[in-house]
Order: sequence, then structure tokens, then C-alpha cells
Amino acid sequence: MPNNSIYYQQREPSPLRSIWLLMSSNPFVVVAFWALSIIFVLMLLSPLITPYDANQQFADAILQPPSWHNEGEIRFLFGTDDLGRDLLSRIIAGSVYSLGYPLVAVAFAALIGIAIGAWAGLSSGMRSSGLNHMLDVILSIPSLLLALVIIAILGPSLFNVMLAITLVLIPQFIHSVRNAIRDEIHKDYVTASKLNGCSTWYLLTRVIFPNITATVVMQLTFALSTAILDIAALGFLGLGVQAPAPEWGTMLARSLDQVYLYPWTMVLPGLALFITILAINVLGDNLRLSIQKRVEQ
Amino acid sequence: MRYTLQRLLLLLITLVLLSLFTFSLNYFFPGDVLTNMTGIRAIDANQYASVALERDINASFPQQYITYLGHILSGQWGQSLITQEDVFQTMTPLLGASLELIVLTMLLSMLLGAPLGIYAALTEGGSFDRIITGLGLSSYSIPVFWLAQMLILFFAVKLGIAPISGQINPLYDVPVTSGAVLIDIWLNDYPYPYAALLDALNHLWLPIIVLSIMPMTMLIRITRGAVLDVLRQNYIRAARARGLKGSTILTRHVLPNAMQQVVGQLGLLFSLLMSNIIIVEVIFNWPGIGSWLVKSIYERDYPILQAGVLVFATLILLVNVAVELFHAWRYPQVRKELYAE
Repeated sequence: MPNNSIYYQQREPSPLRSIWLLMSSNPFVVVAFWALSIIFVLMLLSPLITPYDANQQFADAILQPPSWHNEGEIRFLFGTDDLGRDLLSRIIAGSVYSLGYPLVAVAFAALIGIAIGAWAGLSSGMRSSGLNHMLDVILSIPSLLLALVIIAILGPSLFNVMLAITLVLIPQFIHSVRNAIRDEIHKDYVTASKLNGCSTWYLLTRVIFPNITATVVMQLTFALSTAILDIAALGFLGLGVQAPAPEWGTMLARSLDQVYLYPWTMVLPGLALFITILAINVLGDNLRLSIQKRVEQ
Repeated sequence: MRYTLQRLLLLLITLVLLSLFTFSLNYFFPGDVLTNMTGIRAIDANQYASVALERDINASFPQQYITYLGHILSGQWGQSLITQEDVFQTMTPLLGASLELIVLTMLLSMLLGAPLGIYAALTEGGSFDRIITGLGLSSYSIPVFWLAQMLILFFAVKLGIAPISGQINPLYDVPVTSGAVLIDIWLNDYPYPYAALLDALNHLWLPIIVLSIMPMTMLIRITRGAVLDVLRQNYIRAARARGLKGSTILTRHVLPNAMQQVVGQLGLLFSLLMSNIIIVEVIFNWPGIGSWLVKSIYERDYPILQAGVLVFATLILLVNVAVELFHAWRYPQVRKELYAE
């Protein structure tokens, strides 16, 4: 297709795009991005690509070492656990619990938190500062402790864990969105739009929001790594997703009895957890640096 | 001064809200409210009636809450549903054991983290600096329960140089007074102090390393960033221009200013440490508040559960406010920013 833009036009990249341009100069970020994408695709395809059912037991192959071990077999690439279940299948199927459910929790928390945060950012005075002090207090208490209390009230189950994690994440979103809007609202371009007679809704969605997208995305990555860690921690304590679901934290807890003889049942699910969280944190951390760089430019 | 009063007032309000929250937990938890509150079951009719009278359970909610607050403040926290032991008396040695871990971990991470961070900043771009910045993020991403298991597997099982769990070998029956083993051995004139001390230290070092890896690497990153930030300032250039020695600039100009940023982050580090300590105590079978809290959730022991939440949250809030006050007292520029708002 011929280039039909006749006039020379300087195109300013959008805030989000310019940050991605800054970020992708770092090779680690690119690796983290691809690693996360691959894990995400594996998660979506997990019902199709797992070699066996996650709960299928092989009585002839209990505690089989991984295939690179001398006694390993290629049909169980990562070996099997104490009930003869294929670890590779369980790790892939577990990504639904350990990455998919946190994603859903973060999505709900973000929806509610951003709405409240936007409302708090636009309003001012007593209502706003009171909310801010409350949030400071809630945020200083670790999310795991809050989640534990909620689980203690509701009892451990998948739905309650999701509820607890979502509730725990909401204050973080309110806090960051509120502060981001506060920072923007007194800038000249917002005042100009206000003088133009824009409605509050237009001001929020079209004027302020594009400029705080990067902050929101950063908060999303932080919330996601918190959610993954907390769900796995609750699973590990036996208060989260219940066995036999192949959640990574639950698998780690189950391996506790036999880790000293059969370390792969612990090392491999933990490694999956570690790589996922590391990739998310690398992205989030570099996002923060890039936002700083862009502001300084 | 105004700031101190404002913070203390906010702390007071927060603590009242916290106690209000734990009070309302009694209603949220399944089962009888009074049993959840005191740990005394309705089967024990006499005691139940007397406790009901004592707690004003039939009065209005505000009246009930005030009575509850009075009980909390005077240390009458009810009894455990499972063991029937007094909650407050069980709690104190456990708090000692947790504090022992917390204090030693914070000490280790500060003593190692700050100097390493300064060193990394001074050799910016060097190999040590690059390793540190790389490791910083990974250590922040390691789930602490996995790290603990890996280190146990390596040090305790493969190398066999550390015990797997516990606070001290049961052969040494050190009487428990404060809960912190090291202090207990010293306090009680235990007959074999050195052997017991050695054994206690042998049990201590692995959990402390597991706990301190995350705060330490974060401290290194924060210190590094702060020092680099200060090094870019004009007054450092001015000091150089005056011909001061590098070491003088570092100790007199860079460090005091860099530490200001570091101190501001200590509260956050402490909160992170507290959420890790819950899990680490469970894994190492450490008789502390964290494992007590988790056990009470398994056993649905509500009086203990609310006591655990109360102690944990109070500790975190107190430390946060203490750090903030120290920060504002020590560094006037922070105060100035606060007033300017």
C-alpha cells in the first residue's frame, strides 16, 4: 500500500506507547514480557495441552523423578508426585488457579478501586482527607493478614479466597488512582479544559485518564504480583484453594512431607511461581522507572 | 510538636477503630457471640451466666464495646476454646519469640543492607552494583515459603549443618519467661548456658536468613537509590569544589542526607517483614504470634484469632508511627514538607 500521507506530520506517541518505547530498550523487560505472554498462552490452552488429566493417578509411576534424572521417564517430563500424578500436567493446569484467578481478582478490584479512587480524587475537603488517612492505615497492614481474617470469617474455599483477595486489593487501587488524579488535576491542561466547559465525566475520561494510564498499569502489575503471592501463600497454609486442585501453593504445601526425599515435587511448582512473579515484577519495576524518565524528559 | 500530636491522635483513633473491628469480629464469626469473645461455652452454665453479666452482653452495642475495651486494656482477653488457657498469658511469651526474630532480622538487614547499598552506589555500573540490582528484584519475587523450603533442603538436609525447625533442642528445658530464647537462657541462670546458647543460635540463623533476604535486598536498593540521588545534588558538587576529601564528603554530606530517605521506608519494610513472618513461623515451627494465629484459624479458636490480629496490627501500627515520628524529628526537611501541604 502506498504511503498516502502527503503532509509531513510529527506524530507524538501516546503516553502508554512512549513508555513502552522506553521500556523495550531493556532486554530483560523484553524477556519478561515474552515469558509472561508464554505463561499466559499456556494458561489459556491448559485444558488442551496438558499431557494427562491433572488428577489422573499412575499407580505404576509413583514419585517418578523428572525425565533428566537417571531414573526418570520421558512420558513424565517433570516426574510425578506421591499419588502418581504427572507434575507437568499439574503445573500447567495450576496456572489457571495461580495466574488466572489472580487476574480475575485484580480485574474486579481494579474496576471498583479505580471508580472509588476517581471519585475521591475529584472531590476534595474533609471527605477526601478522611478517606486518605483511613487508606494509609489500611495499607500499612499487610494484605496477607487482612486476607487471613476474611478467610477466618468465611471459611476456606476458592470463592472466599477470591473475595478476600479482591477486597484486600481495592484500597491499593483507590490510593494510587486518587493520588494520580490529585497530581494531575491542578495542571494547566486540565484547567484549560475546565474553562472550555467540559463536563466532569469528559474531564475524567478524556482529559485526565490518558495521562494516568501508566500509573494505573503499574498499579495493576503490583496488584497482580501481590494477588499471586497471597493466593499461593493462602494455598500453602491450607486456607486457600483446597486440594486436589493443582494450585501451585497447595502443591508446595503437599510436598512438605516428602520434600527431603523427593525435592522435585517442591522445586518445580515453586519455580513456576517464581518465574511468573519475577516476570511481572520486572515489568512493573521498569514501568516505574520509565514513568520517572518520561516525566523528567 | 504539632505533627507529633497529630500522629499520636491518629494512632489513637486507629487503635480504637482496630479494637472496634476486633469487637465486631465476634459478631461476624460463626457461633455464639459471647463464646467467641471469652472462650467460655454455654454448656458451662454458671460461668457463662457470670461472664455474660461481666461483659454486659445484653446491653446496647456501645455499652458492650466499652466493656470489651476495658477487658482488652486490663489484659482479660478470655480463654482459648481448645486449651482453656488464658489468652493473654499464652500470648506474652509468643510475642517475645516473634520479637526475637523480628529484631534480629531487622538488625541483620540494616547492618548488611545499608553498607552494601552505599558500596553499590559508589561503584555504580560496576559488577557488584549490577549483581545487586539484578538480585534485588528476584529476591523480592521469591515466595518466602518456597525460599524457606529450598534453604532448609540445602542447609538442613543436604549439608546437615542446621536443625530443620523449632526454637531450641528439647533436651535443654530452658524455662520460658520472656519467650525469646536468648534472653531466657541469660535470665534464668540456666546450668549450661553456653551449650544452650549455641544450640539456640544454631536454630535461629536459618529462619533469620530466610526472613532477612527480602528486607535486606530492598534496603540495598533503597540505600543505593538514595545515595545516587544525593550524589547528584549541587551541594555535593560544591563540597567537591571546596576540595574536601572523598571520605569527608561521604560521611559528612552524603550519608546523613541519604539516610533520610532510607528511614522513611523502614515502616514499609517492617510491614513486609510481618507478612512474611506469619509463613516463616509456620514452616520453622517457631512458637511465635504468626504460627499461633494460623493455628487458631485451623482450630477455629476465635478468642485467640482476634487476639492474634489485634497484637499483629497494633505492632505494625506502632512501629509505623514510631518510624514516622523519628523521621520527622530527625530530619526537619520532612517536617517542612508536611506543614507545607
